[in-house]
Amino acid sequence: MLIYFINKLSFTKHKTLKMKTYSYLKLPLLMGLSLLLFQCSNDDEDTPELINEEEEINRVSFDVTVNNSTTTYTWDEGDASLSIPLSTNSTYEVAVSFFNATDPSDVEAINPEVIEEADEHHVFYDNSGSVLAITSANSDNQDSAGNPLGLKTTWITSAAGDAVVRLFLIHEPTTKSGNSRTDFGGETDVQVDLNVAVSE
Amino acid sequence: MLPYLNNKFWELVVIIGSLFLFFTLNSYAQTNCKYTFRGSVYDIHEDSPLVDARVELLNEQRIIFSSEQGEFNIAELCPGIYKLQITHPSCEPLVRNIQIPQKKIGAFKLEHHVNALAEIFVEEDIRNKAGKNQLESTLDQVVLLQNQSSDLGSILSQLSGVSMMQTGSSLSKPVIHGMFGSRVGIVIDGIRLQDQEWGADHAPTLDINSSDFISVVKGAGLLRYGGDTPGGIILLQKNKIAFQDTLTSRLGTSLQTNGRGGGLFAKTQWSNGLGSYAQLNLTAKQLGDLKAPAYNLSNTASVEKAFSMTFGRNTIQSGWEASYRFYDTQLSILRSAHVGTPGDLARAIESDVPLVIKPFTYTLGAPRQENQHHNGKLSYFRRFNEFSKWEINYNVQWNHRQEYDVRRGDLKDVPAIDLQLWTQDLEVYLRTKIGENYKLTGGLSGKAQDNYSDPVTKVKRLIPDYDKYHWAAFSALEFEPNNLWNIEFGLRWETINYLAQKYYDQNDWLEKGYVIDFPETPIVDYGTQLLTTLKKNFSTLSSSFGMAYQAVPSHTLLFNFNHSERAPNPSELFSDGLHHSLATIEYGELRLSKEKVNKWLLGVESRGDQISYSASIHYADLKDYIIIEPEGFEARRGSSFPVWQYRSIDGFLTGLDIDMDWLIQTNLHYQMNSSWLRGHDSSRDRPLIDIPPYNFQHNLTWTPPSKKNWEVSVQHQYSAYQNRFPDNNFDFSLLVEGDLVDTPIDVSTPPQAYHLWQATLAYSSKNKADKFWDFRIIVENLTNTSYRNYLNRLRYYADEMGRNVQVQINYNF
Repeated sequence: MLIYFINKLSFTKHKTLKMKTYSYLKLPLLMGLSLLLFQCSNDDEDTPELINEEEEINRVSFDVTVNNSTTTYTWDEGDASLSIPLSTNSTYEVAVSFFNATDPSDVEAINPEVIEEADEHHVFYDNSGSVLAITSANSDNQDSAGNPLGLKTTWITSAAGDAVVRLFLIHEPTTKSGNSRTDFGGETDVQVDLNVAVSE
Repeated sequence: MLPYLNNKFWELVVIIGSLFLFFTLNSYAQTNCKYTFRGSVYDIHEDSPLVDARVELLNEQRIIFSSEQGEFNIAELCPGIYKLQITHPSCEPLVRNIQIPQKKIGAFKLEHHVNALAEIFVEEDIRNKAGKNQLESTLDQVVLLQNQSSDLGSILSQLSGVSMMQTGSSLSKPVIHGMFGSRVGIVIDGIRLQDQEWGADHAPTLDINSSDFISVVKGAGLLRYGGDTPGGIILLQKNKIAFQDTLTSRLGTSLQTNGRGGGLFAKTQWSNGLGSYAQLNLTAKQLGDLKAPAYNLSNTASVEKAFSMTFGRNTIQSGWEASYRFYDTQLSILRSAHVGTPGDLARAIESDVPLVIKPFTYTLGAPRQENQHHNGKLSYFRRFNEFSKWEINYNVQWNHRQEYDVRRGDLKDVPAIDLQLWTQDLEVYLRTKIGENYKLTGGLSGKAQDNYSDPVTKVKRLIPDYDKYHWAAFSALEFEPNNLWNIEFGLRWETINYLAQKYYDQNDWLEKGYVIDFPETPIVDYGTQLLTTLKKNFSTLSSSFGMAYQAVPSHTLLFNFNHSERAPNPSELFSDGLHHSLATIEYGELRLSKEKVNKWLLGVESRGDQISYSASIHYADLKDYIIIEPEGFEARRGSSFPVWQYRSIDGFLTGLDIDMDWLIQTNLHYQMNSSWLRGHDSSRDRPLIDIPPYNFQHNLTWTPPSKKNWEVSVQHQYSAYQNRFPDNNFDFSLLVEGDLVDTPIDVSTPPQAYHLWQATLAYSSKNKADKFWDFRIIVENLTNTSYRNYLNRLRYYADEMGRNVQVQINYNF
C-alpha cells in the first residue's frame, strides 16, 4: 500500500517537472517563499512576561518571647548574620517565619507551605556552640509521623557566653532526627547565622 | 603553484559559464542544408526524459545534448541516412539509423544498466565519505548494532580523540579533542541538529538507531555544515539506497541487569529498482534506577521513544527525499546531586556515598529532564551532468526542553526550565566538476531560529526569548590531479544576528557595566528588573585547507588547517541562573566577541591486509576562546554561592590520537586506540578545565576455528588521572562548635585513574542469505569496579555504574 503510494507520488512529481520549463527559476522562488515564512514566524512583538521568583526565601524573622513580651529579629538576604541578645538562666519561646520578600510590596509568607508539606521539611538549629539548649516547643507543628517540625522552639540559657547558632530550613531531609546538619541530608533551602550573646 | 591555480580557475569559470549558456540556448549551426531532426530521449523504465544525453551524429562530428525535457534538435541537415548514437552516463549506448527528411519525431529509449546506476550513487562506498582529505573515523553498522541501547556520547567515546561529557551515568554528550557543545556539529542526513546544544548537561536529542553509520570528522574541515565547529563534525548517515528490489527489516531487543530494563528496536528499509525507497525506525527504551557497585544511583531512571521515517526517490537526473524524526526522552538526574547551598555541596563531596540512596524504582522523580525533538526535512536534487548536481534542502526542527527541579508546593510539577526552540533552515547546494581535476562545491543557507522561554516556570529565564538569523555562503574547491594527491580549499562566511528580549536585574545591569557599554539598548523599567531589547550581530569567516598524499600505496599522509570562527551561543551571551548540581550561579557576558580557533592536524593512515593504523597530531591555537570560570560570590539563601562567569581567554589545545587494527590470525583480531590531550589557558597560565585525561582502550576478538558462528571478545580500557587541572576551589563557612571556620570545598581535583573490563560473547546463525539471528551477551564493567570520571559533572556525588549484563537478540529478515 505504502509502496504503491510512494511510486505514485514519484511519478506525479515527474510529470509536473516535465511541464515546468524553467526549473532553475524555482530555486530563487522557493528561497523567497521561505523568507516570507521566516518573517511570519517572527514574534518579537510579544513582550516576554516578567517573572517574580516565587521560591526564594530571602527574609527570615525570629519572634523571641520571654515573660509574655516578644521581640522580632529579622534577617534579609545579604545580611551577614543576625544578633540575638539573651539573658542568662532564662527560657525563651522562639518562632521562626520564612518569607519571600523579592517584591517588597507583596511579601509572601512561606510558613503555610512548610507546614502543609511538613513531611518534606525540617527546621534545624545547629547549636554545637552549647551556650544554650534548644528543644522543640509544645506548640510546635508536627509532620504526619508526629515528628516536630522545628518552627517553634524553646531556648533555655544558663551561663553567659557567645556562639553562632545556624538555622537551616531543610527540604526533603533523609531523616528527622540528628545532631548535626550532615545527619539530616536533604537540601538547604535557606540558612541564617545567629550571633547569640548570652549575658547577665 | 598558486598563480597556476588562479589562472586555471578563471579559465574554468569561463568554461562553466559558456556551458550554462550552451545548455539554455541549445542552438547549433553549421551547414546550409535546411532540414531539422527532432527527437527526444527517455528512460525506458520510468518514461521520464533524460537530460544531457549525448547525441552524436557519427561520421559528422556533431554532438549535442538533450534538453531539460529530454528533447534535442539537429538543425541544418542535408537529406540522407545518418547514424545517430545516443549516450548517457549511466545507460547502455544506443545506435540508430535516421532518415532525413524526418517522417516523425524520433523517440529514443535508453536503459540504465543497474550496476552503472548504482555506481553513480555509490561512488566509493555504501556511504558518503566526508572528504578524502579529512581525518575521519567511522563506526559501522556492526558497532552500532552492538551499542543499540547506548547513546551518542558513549558510543563515540570508543573512537580515539573522542570522549564524553557526562551528567551522571545516563546522560552524555560527545567531546572531540577537548571541545563539546557548540564546538561540535552534529549532522543527521545532511541536516545540522538544532537543539540546546550549549549545555554541558544537554545530551544530543537524537536516536542513534535511525542511522547506519556514524562518523567523526575531527576539525572544522566540513564547511558545508558550519565553520563554527573547531572540535569536529559528527555525521550520522543512512546506507546508500540500492537500486534493486529489497525489503530488509530488523527486530531487536536488548535487556540489561543494571537498570533492570532495556529496549525494543525495529527497522525496515525498502527500495525498488526504480529508485524509490522508504525507511522506518522505531525505538523504545526504559530503564529504572542504575546501580553503582556499592549502592543504588537513586533517581537515574529513563524512558526514551523515537520514531523516524524517510521516503524518497532517486533517479539518474533527480531525486527527492522527505523525512521526519521524532525523539522523546525523559531522564532523571541523580537525586543526591541536587544541592541547595555550597554547604550542601561540601557535605556531598565529603561523603563517600551519595546522600540520598533509596530502593530501586522505575519512577522518574525530580530532578529530571524531558526533551522532545521533531525534525522534518525535504530535499531535492537534480544532476546536470555525470558529476554535477544541485540540491535544495529545507528543514524544520522543534526542540522542547523541560527541566524539573526539586521544588516546593504548587511548583513541584512545574518545570524550572522550559525552552522551545524553533529552527527553519534552507540550503541550496551546488556541486560541479571543472575540467578533469577540479571539483567545485558551494552553497547558500539561511536559518531562522526562535527561542521561547516559558514564564510558567516562575524561575528567572536561564536563556531569554530570542530570535536568531543566520546567513551563510560557502564554497570549496577540490583539486585531484592524480590518485596520489587530493587538495581542498574551502571558505565559509556567516552572519549571525541575535535579537533577544531579556530581563536584567537592575543591579546586574549597572554593576556589570552594561549601562555604559550598551547605552543605546531600549529598556523598559520594571523597578528591580529591566526589560532590555538586545541586538547582537556577528559575522564570521572560516576557512579550511585539506591535503591528502598517498606516499606509498598503503600509506596516506593527511594535513588539515582550519581557521574557524564561532559566534558566542545564547548561553555564553545571556545565561543567568542557578545551577543546582554544582551550587553555582552562571552569568553570560554580553561583550563577548567571536571565538577564533586555528587548528592544525597532521595524520598518517595505513591500510594493510593484516595491520591498519592511523596516527595524528593536532594543535589548536585558541583566540578569544569562551570558557566559564568562577569569579566572586553572590549571597543566596543565606550562603555565598560561587559565581561562574563566561569570559574569553587565549590558549591552546594539543594532542595525539592513535588507532590500530591488527588481524593477528584469521580468527584473532586486535584493535587498539589511544588519545592524549593537553589544554592550556595562556591568559592565566594554568590548565584548561574539563580536558579528558589520557585514555587507552583495546580489545581482542577471537572466533573459534571450528565454530565460525561464535565470537568472543574482551575489552580493556584505561583512563589515567588528570594531573593538569585549574584550581577552582572555594571556601564556605562551616560552623564548628559555635564558631565559623572558612573551609575549602575541593571541586577541582580529578578522580583517580581506573581500569575497566568488558567481555562479549556473540553468536549469529545464518539460515538463509538474508535472514539471520544475532545473539550477544555483553558484560560491562566486568570486575564491578567503583570509579569516577573526571568529565562527569556529577562525579562529586556518586560512583559510575557498576557491572551490567546485557543480552541482545536481533533478527534480520
